[in-house]
Amino acid sequence: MSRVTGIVKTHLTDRLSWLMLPWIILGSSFAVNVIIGSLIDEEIKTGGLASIFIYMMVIGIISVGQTYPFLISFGARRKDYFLGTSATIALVSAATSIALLLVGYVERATDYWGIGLYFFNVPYLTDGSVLSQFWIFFMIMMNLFFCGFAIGAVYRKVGRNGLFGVFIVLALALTVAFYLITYFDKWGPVLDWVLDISLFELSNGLLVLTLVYVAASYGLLRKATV
Amino acid sequence: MTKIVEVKDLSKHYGKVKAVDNVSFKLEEGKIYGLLGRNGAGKTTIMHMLTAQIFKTSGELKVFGEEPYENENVLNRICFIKESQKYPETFRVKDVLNVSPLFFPNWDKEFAMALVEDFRLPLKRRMKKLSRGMLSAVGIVVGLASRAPLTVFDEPYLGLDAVSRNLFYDRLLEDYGEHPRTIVLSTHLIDEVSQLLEHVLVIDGGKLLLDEEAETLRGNASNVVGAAAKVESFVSGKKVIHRAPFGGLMSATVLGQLSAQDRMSAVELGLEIGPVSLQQMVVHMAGGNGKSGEAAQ
Repeated sequence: MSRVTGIVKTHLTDRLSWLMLPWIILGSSFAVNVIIGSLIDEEIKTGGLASIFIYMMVIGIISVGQTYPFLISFGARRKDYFLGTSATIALVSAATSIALLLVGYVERATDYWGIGLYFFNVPYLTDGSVLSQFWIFFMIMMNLFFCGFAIGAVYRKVGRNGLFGVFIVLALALTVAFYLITYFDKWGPVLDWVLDISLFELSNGLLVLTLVYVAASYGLLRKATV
Repeated sequence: MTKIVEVKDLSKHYGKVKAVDNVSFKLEEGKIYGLLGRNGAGKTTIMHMLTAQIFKTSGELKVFGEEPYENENVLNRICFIKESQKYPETFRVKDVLNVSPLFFPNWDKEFAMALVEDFRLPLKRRMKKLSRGMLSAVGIVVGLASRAPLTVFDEPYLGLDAVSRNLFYDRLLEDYGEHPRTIVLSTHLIDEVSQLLEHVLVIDGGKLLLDEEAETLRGNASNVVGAAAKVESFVSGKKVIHRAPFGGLMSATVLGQLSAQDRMSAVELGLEIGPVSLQQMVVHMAGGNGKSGEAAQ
């Protein structure tokens, strides 16, 4: 167990990447929106919040390449590396989600910053109770983090060409799926299904997908060399 | 003597390339080993397998009596500092030293700080901004201050100046005296370390050529110089690992202890007998012509 904490601490030694950069990126996106919002009179609903989520995926990809060779050669077990990295991801996701909810509360309390800027409150995602808002933020973040982590793990295990291979297979699968939907003329029902997904179903779906990423990353890292 | 490492018929193949080929050896507790050989001989591959960083193709491998893969008992007793050690890009020197105790239970912080002073390392500088020599020095600090029961240095002094290399040898010996442990030095700067080594393993082309006490080895080879025909007659029946003719003269390196009778006959034949340094021996054994390797076996 002590080793797992050691790995969490090692990750968080890089405070810039894990704790500061996400907010710097989100902050600059927010600043741009505030400037625009103060110049025009209309209500603004933006997707700027997405930046912090996408950043989480980026750090998921980068962290494996940066820390895996280092920690494994410092004598960490692969299992501990995996548990420690997952714990770090969960901690950062939870803390970031809570912070986002707090800022979202401030946004509502200040009547959308006085300029009608809906930045931290997004229709659909933040419609539910505080708990459901937290859950959906947390799940999206975990999902993207682990998606990045899985990509990093594929790269560690099979290298650049292997990673290309995985993406080619994924692209083929999507193409075939799209073709089949078109062929059987099912786009209508498919879109209806997508539009009908409730927040609860969405977060559950994300949870399942995240677990798939988790299993894949663990399987790959167990056999990855340095 | 407790066996720290036991390797039996260990092999690692990459396709048709046999990086390590049926190697067997043992490392005992509390000794300084030299793992010597040319670039690409398989030294790093063997050490990577000992620390479960890469996987063996076949053979048996026991470290502290157990399989090292995913084995906490084994892994937290090893410190393996390699020449190509990677550090996270954003880490500063002090970040590396701060996380080290999380992985090496015997970490001595004061010792680490003293070494940082000795090597004049800038604590606040980022790892990726360090020169090659400083990068090596960080590895040496981690390797020494970790006091791991099995400490492995793989070409630890790439880019280090002569002063720092001497510093490394001095600190290593001092600390080894106070805190005995098993140390493996893998290197091609053989002359520099030959005085430190207690036991020598020579690897070439993935095969183990030599596994011998350094003490035995020092008196175990001689250089014979004299008229070519006389040298030939003298060395017939002996293990010759190197022949260098020049003009009518010849210099031959013979493996094995020379008897008093041998020395007498050498004098009679007018031959000169000189000692062979460890470096020369390794050069000859793992040397340019493939035949010498076979002759040694």
